[in-house]
Amino acid sequence: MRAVVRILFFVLLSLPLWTQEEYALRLTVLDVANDSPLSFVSVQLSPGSIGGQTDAGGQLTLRARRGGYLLRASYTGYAPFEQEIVLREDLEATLRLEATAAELQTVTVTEQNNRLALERPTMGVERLSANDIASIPTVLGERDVLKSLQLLAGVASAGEASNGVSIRGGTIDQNLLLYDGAPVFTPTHLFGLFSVFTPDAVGGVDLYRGNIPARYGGRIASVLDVRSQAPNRERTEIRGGIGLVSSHLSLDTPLDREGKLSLLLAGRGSLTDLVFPAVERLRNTQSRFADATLRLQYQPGDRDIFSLTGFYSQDYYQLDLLSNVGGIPAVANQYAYLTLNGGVEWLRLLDDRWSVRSSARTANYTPELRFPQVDGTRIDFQSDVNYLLGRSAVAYTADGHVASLGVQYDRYTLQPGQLDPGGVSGILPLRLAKETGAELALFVEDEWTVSDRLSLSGGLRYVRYQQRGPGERRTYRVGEIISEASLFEATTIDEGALATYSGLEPRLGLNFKVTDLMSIKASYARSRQYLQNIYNATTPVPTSRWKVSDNNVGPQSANLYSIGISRQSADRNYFFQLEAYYRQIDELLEYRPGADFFLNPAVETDLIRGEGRSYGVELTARRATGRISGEVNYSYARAENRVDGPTPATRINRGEWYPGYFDQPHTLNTRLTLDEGRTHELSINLVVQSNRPYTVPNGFVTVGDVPIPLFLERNNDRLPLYHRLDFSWTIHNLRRQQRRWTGDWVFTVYNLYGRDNAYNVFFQPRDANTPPLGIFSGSPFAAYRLSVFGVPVVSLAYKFTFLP
Amino acid sequence: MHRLPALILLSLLLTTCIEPTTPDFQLEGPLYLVEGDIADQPGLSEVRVRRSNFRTLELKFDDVSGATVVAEQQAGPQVEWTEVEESPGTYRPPAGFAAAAGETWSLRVVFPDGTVAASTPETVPPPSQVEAVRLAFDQEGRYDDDRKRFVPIFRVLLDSSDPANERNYYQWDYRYWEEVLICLTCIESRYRGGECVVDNVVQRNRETFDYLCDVEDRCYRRVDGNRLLFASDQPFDGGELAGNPIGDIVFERVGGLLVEGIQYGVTAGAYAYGRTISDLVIGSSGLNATIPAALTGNMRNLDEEGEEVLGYVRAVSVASQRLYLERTTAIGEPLPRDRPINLEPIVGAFVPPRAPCEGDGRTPVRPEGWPE
Repeated sequence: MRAVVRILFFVLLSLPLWTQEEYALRLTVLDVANDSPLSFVSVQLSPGSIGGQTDAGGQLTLRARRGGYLLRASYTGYAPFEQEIVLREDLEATLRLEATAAELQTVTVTEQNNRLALERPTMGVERLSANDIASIPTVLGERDVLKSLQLLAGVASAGEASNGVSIRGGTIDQNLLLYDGAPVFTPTHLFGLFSVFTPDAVGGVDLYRGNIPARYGGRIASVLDVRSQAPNRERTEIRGGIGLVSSHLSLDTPLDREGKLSLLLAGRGSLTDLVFPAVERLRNTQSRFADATLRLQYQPGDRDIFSLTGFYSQDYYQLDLLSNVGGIPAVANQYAYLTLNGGVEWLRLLDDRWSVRSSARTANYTPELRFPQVDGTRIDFQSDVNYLLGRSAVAYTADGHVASLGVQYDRYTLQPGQLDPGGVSGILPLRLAKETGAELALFVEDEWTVSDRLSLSGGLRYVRYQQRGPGERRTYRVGEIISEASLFEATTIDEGALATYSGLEPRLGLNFKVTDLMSIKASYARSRQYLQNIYNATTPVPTSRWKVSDNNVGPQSANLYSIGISRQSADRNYFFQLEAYYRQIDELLEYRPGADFFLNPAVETDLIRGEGRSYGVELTARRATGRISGEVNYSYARAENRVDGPTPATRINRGEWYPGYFDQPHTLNTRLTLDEGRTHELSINLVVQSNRPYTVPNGFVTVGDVPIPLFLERNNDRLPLYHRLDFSWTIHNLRRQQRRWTGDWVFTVYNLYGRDNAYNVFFQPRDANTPPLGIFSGSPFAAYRLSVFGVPVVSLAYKFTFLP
Repeated sequence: MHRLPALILLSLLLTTCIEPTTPDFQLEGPLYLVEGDIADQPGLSEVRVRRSNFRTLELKFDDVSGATVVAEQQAGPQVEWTEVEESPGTYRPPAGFAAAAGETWSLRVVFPDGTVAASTPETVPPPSQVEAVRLAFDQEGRYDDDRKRFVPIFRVLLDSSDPANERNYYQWDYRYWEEVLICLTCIESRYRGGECVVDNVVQRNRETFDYLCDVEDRCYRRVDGNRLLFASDQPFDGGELAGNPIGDIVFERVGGLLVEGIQYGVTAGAYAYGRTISDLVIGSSGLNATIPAALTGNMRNLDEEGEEVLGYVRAVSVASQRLYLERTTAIGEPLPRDRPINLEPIVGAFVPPRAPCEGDGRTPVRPEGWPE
């Protein structure tokens, strides 16, 4: 596998060869992607047996007599580094190591990685470092992983308030979202406005939207792998910040003198509750959210690294009663969501070529709806997802290969819903049957550099999925539409398999360098999805129900074909990439008219199946060097569905292809950053995109005296063009002094020119309270356009670092 | 299921805005709409037959007179319904008609152009049980966006019971009556000859006149809740549902208030249809709008190639309770009037006319339950 990406070497002086005096070689080893220090990197000088390991700051000092040496640095997951040096006096050097495909398989936004993009057989892969995320203008000054990703080609959302992102036209639940290896089921706070990932803890994000590596599976659109930072083993750092919506604080510190044990603990809490009493309208409103990330790392020697990770996220909202859920009486709407994830990982370095990484993780997600009563009692509805994941993989890195072989076991148990009457008379305790799914996966993958011009990647994932008991297996009469009326048999099975699916998922990639500056690529990936989020809306909400594949609801599957061409300018300052893709989806999930999954014991009666296709072209132009850097991404992307059932209720748009919910044909994202180099950094984003499809009525009917819009088809119109400009100005350490306390001011303006982008257009029956506006033109409906950020949103945040 | 809350929260917390816009439609060809109930109580069965007239943005339905409407009981009698003289397009069965629980009924309609449509048969659900309707006062019950303040409300609470060991479906609604003194308000005009007539002097002075009701005794106004509250009994099967909030009434004035809480027992099909409607009206407005759903009712044109016939004819059981309350300031503080009552002055021998007690739910007939 390719080795070193970038090295900066500063040789200071030479001295006469005859002296026998020892000289110091001071090394700093960094990750090329984000300049974060790499600890426990093995460094050796040969000949001789001089060597050591870098500390938490990525630093190491070696002493050797003058002479010529071969400097070698190796670290699992990173390409080995070799460089000849002549030691004639004290020397300082900075080594930048590149993650290999086995570890990260990413393309980073740097000059050197542009070069690697020309050489590697991966496609549709992007990485954002913590620095990248920090420099992107965001709403209300909150650093945000998901918002940052939306500047990349092929990444979209339903708008500013969306509980996730759409990758290449896929639905939100078709993305596998991992935080420190454990799945996250609700990635946003405040109904989609902010990501849940603790700002001070995020180390980087890898997005695989094309040729997903074989070690990942379970979703058909993409994998989003968010990682926390490795704790600092050398010194204590306290970081924090104060923003308009929330404030955050982190402690990053070694726990012993040797630095074997280190800790990162970061948290964030919202302050919105303090604002509400000042606004009459919000007197009865409560809103709180918090999240925290823990990472504890233990490195007893030079061959083992143990880490313990934890993640907590909680939301609570109370609002005046505005909607009735499932006919359950209430005087207010209360919502609470809790995520508790944890994991342990052991990395064993066997030698320079072989390593073993094993992990066990758990994810628990508990959304809750609460129904307060007039007399102060409360009915609670709760569902939960319990996810267990074990994985072990052997990796080999040498001889032009970066290979791994592993096994993974996922077991998820869903409680779709339980109702606790809380002492309210007349309400029954209810508990829907649990659903359990288990996936056993074997995977092998190899990225092989065949020659200077050709590299290949091959992966194969075999998954055997079972729906496990206890549970109820419902079968319906063959040839009839699945409905309550066609139920043939319902059998309760205490243990064993209720349904089984299995299959191979090949992942293939090729890269051919036509010239030193240009390469062409092609890839193919097949994937299946056994766990889905079901929701009768444009995007899921935190309480949307999860569903395992069963005998009635089979897994969705997708085949993705991609081709691309990459080109770098002769001066290596500019990089261009063009990728085209076509994805075909089988067993796509759609919903019957009026589908309702709340306390529904047989959701398959409200689900219908169809097929999907998405295709598009993504063009990227990038300058990653110099004081002015930037990126322009243009995507032409289509996403279409077809559901052609035998009856009107199981057929959508007459059985013809219709636009999917994220069909946004044209998207142009532009990002420009001016880094003055010392104190000031200015950045702007321009986003222009076709808005999402929506449905306009085909007429209306009345029920009683209430006019009801009549819909005979879905997604028959499109919201107006979306565009906005954002600005951010970061002032680093204003006084430019090396102090124990340093602070950055971040000033951002989101939607600089106040574009009133439509998020939704909806229809309401006109009644005596509807204002008599001419704009409604005598229609029985009043139409309203909803926009989330229709004016410039200005914010100022302060972030600090304290070195006690 | 929490689209609206999210909307309200964000609209005030952040910079969310909702602006009126011209409604867009992609209109389909003409269609017939048939909707109504076959009820288990005399006098409550009724169906409306209309045809769409969507040629302009002012979408309309025209009443269809002269149709033949027949209710057909499975393996039972047929009952022909007749058009109500004072309400064209509305058809009712003979007086005293009531379907019984367990009977299966469908409705057949022959339109004047020969189109024949029929509803899928529905079985009348078991009788509903409403134990009581209650009112709970809350001085700052909810925020009123139009008035931009918290308003005092009476919560309408329904106590009902549900038969055990069977799946039942319900719709809840309410209506209320209150006495009204003013039967017409003319803005910048005067009431003359049965209508508000623009008067230059009044217009120049921007005056608004109120006119007393022309009744010997009292004039009552009925307000329908038009709630689209549907539920299955899954969470309360066989139980007593006490204090179920089914609506609220703003405390605007002191005086009598007669409230009726209504529970319809509906079929599974009608429940699914009603829930779809509820989603379309309530669920479409927020940050996470429900996917628009086709209204697949139970009315069908027997000729599949013929004109579209939509709508739902339900078989329902109906139960209700009424409660009379004298609203006084001892209960709470009513909302202040937007403006004082301004009667057109008596000038010499001229006595301003009175407006008839009709229209907008007004009636001089004392509703049952209102004390004499």
